[in-house]
Amino acid sequence: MDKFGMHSQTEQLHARHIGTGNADTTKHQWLTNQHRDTLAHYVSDDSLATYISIAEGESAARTKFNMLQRMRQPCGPPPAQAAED
Amino acid sequence: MFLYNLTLQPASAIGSTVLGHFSGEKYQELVVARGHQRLELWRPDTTTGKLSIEHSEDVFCRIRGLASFRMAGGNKDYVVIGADTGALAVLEFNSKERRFVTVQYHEFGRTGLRRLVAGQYVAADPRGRAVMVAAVERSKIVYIITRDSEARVMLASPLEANRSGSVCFDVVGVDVGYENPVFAAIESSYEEGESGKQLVYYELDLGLNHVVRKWSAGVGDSAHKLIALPGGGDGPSGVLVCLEGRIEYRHLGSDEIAVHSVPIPRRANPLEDPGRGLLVVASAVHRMKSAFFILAQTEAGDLYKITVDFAEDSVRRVGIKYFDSLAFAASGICILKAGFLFAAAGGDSGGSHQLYQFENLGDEVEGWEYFSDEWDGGPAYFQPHELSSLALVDEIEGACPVLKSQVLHVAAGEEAPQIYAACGAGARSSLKIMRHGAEVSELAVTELPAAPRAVWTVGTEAGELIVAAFAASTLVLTMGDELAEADDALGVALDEATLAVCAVDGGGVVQVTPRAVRHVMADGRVTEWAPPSAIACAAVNGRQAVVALARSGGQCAYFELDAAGVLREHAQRLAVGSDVTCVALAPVGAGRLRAPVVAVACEDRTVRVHALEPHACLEALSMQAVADVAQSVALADHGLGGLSLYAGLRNGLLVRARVDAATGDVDDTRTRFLGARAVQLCAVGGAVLALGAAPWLCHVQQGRERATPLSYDALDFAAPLAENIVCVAGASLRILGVERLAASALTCASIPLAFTPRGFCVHPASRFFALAEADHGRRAPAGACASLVRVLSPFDGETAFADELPPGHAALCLAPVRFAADPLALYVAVGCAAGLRLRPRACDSASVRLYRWSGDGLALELVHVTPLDEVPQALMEFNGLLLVAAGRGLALFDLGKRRLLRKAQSAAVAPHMVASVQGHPTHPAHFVFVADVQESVLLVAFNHATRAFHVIVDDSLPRHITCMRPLDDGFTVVAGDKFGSLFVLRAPEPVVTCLEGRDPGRLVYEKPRMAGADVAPYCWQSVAEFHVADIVTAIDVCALAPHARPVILYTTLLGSVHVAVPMVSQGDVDFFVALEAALRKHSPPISGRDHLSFRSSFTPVRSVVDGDLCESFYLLSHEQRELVSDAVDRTQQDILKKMEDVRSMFAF
Repeated sequence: MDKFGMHSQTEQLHARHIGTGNADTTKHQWLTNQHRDTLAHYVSDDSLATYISIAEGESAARTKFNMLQRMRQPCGPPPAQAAED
Repeated sequence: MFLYNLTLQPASAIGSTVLGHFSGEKYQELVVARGHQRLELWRPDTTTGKLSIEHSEDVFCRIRGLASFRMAGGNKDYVVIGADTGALAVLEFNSKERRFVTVQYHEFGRTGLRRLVAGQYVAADPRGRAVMVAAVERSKIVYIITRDSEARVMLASPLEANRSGSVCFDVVGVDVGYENPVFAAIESSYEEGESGKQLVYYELDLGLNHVVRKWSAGVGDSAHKLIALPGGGDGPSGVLVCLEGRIEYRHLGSDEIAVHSVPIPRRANPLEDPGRGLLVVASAVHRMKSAFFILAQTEAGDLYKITVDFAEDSVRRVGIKYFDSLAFAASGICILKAGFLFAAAGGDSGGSHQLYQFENLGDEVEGWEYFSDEWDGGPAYFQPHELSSLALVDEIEGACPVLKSQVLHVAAGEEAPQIYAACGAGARSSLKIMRHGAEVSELAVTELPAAPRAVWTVGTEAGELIVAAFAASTLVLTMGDELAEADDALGVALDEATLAVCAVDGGGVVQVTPRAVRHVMADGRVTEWAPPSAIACAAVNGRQAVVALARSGGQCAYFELDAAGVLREHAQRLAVGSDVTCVALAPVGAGRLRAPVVAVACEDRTVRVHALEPHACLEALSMQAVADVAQSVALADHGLGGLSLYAGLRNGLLVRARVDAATGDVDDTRTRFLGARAVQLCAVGGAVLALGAAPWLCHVQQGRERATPLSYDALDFAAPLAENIVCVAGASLRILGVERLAASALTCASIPLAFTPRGFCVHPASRFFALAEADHGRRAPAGACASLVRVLSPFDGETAFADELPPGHAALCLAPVRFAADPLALYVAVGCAAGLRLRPRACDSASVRLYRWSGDGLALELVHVTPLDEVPQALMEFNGLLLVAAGRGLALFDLGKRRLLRKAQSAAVAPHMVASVQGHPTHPAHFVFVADVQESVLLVAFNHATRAFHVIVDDSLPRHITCMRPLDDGFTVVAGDKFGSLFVLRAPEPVVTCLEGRDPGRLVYEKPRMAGADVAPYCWQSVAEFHVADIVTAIDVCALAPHARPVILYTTLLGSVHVAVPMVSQGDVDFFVALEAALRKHSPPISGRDHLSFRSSFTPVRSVVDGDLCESFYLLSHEQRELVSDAVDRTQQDILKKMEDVRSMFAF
């Protein structure tokens, strides 16, 4: 089937471009990726981080730190998978 | 609609700061990224302790990090920018051209703030051999810095040190001397099977040209910052890892047991949360000859001194001691070699940047020091004290973060409106009053017996003397500790009025009185020249004098110092044919014998220029007709090529023109109205003071001529005194210092507040402000909510009334209301919530507190409190009722005796949550503009029959609105969103027709534009889009000067003030679009970001010209200007004039 090395190329592209979905992407994976993108943007954008820190009543450094911490598991641990896959 | 966007005041918040020798000189300088798109070079003057802004440049990208490096053997530091450009830019400050130039630019990824594209962190090897740029996740790129054969900085191709699935918290370059460069990073992996934070060393192997992950060690989960220690003989090398409440020393090979760990002592506070430590926000390492120490600042603003005991390469122990407390948590601190500490204020820290001087190193101050070998892990406390090791020497004021602002005419006697900005940062909140003008500090005021007509300063060996001329006498004063008379110090005639006086070459003084021209030589001899008739006016510079004879038909005598130092009259007289009102001579350039031209203003409303060069002496060169008789003229050399001729007219106009020094041609005439009073001009140093209804300073800043009003009383005459100005106002003699002209066009006054302001309004008669303030979370003093409603006088900053809300309650919004049921009284409604939670937004109870203005608008009295079901988001007066936006819905309330009475309610108007509401300018009884937090602006109509709200116009794009402002036509709205975009939306044609027609109310019967879908009948059309790159927090429409046309003025969170000028003629639009395109092509921003793509970051830019890019034309070299002016097919002067016209017509 994999006559032109298509499969390995796709895998490589998937590894490089994090968040590229496929048929097996779960809702949790997709959401986690969305959240990571959002949090990374908040951390990178000084005015958004300041905006959020004022709303939360925290220092900007604490807000950025909290968001980086949340990037690791923004939607909690993955749900227990059914055994079929 | 076509807008020209212009920055009046750049953002004040500093994102990152680096210290170094960027000009290649002996003194240290700071490069700061202000408001993340402006790069500035600041120079702290170590003798006066003043900060001055040397250069400021828009880079049109988002700067996220800065680093600096110096090549081995070099004497100049280079700046590395980490930005959203997807590239690494190395900049050099070219001290000759006084601007930054890109020396290396290397692209590695896509543009934008992306998770995987490096740019968030930049770190340089302390020996200047490599730089690392890292992303928030995965990517780390290392560049080796080399030199080419001509000693230019070169970057080798990038080496990747990526690690997938890991979040990066901080990166620093470890000082390892001249071994292979090492970078340390805090990483946390989220891949399965791996957990915990690690400190990782990446070694760049210079021999093999690759990067290896050399060492890693687990660190605590709260590690967030790294501080590199000196190495290579100066120190033990390695890093300090900052954790919550703890700092650890780590270095290659140090296992868990050998870790040196010290606590971050905290303030002894009964309300503290023991489970939460302090974060380190900024740090600086100071190296001395044989030792070093570190200052680290926590988010509470306290500074700690960290010392490291070491022998050879091993650390014995680490000590930490509370050092001092700054007023705010800085975004960066720098220690200068000369003993100064610079603290840069970030977005959340209240706006003003401070420079401190070290008084001691904290060793003498009592306090407990914690050592790593003694600490048992228990809690550590300290007692805060007043500033004892540092002394504040200078401060640069700024307004940041601006949460709300309004443009108001409040201050009496001021023609231009002021900007009132509510700045919120917890306890450092304030109400800032910004007005156009430069800051002036009054150094001395002395009353004189009579009002002097004029004042000059004469430099002598004994110091500068002040000469004041009265109607029939002259006074000489000396400046010691006090002003004292020094009558015979100069040898000038004191019993006569003086028309002009000046020190001349050879140590003498030339004084012109109505009856004589007296030359007092250095040895005391006096030569006098008696005129045939009285002298009307005169001008003297270091080598020449021109006197005009009264009622002589414009006869002037010309004098010049000859080779022997004697003042000789020229054989011929100058005759201009009309009586002369004033004359002016340019200052004599260094190494010159004379000024080339003289300017003479006559009663026939002309200003004439005559040559003074010997081959064509007194020959008429040119003539300029002006609108009225000139009161005063001045010639100044601003170093822009040629001279600048200023004429102050009796009708209050200031005329400025360029004079060619060789040919005397006058061109490039500009006019400015300074107010209804004759304009007196005084040369002050290299600048010219124009004294009309207000004092204006005409000076040159970064290659462009500017006129800045001084925030001071009207003056009559002025003269330079050292770096200050001595001036006359009535009978008082004042000495003024003008501070930091380059800093900004706006000066800022500040009234402190207790908590973060949430809303404010002004009483129409008393002009007092009603403010709602609230803080919750950590910023509130008691941990829960703290809030108050107060009435504030903007004139003296006094609080006239304050109502503290019960504990746990927070005031969230405020609006003035006039009820139809009680039309004579003016009310203020305040929306409150108790037990507010943010995610998801909810509360224990919500209410509207209704206050009535009492005592003629000097205080408020609480009328009643009405409970609500949801958190109130915004309030507004609507049809003589109070409109409350809570959650998604809108409700109308009428005034009742005990509480507000609900008259109408629509539960689900906005798709997510209302962000703000604004009244309709033309049909206030029928329509209201509602902004949603996610779904853009809605035009909502009120059906009077069913008492329900209906959405008429919604948007096709999701926009997270922060603020909006409907324009006066009633169908256009300007709004800003959370991602830093500004846009203008206009209702579609049918709605416009209906709004302009007879029965706009029938719009409520329109059907949705798609059957069955939850959409409005109509959809906004986007008219203009622009990416500001900072959150717009308030928009206003106003005229900035009495005669200026209205503009859209908006303020942003990080403290910048912009105007969007609506352009009126298609010719201007075409010109500026062409100019913008030419500038994009011929002088792209130094950051390397494509300007068009930057301004289109979220939505493609439309119908807006970036005035900041256009004004970068001023900074270009002559060759680049040529290219641009050729591309737009205009002369350089045309381009400059066009830009200046826009400024003078609409703004300043």
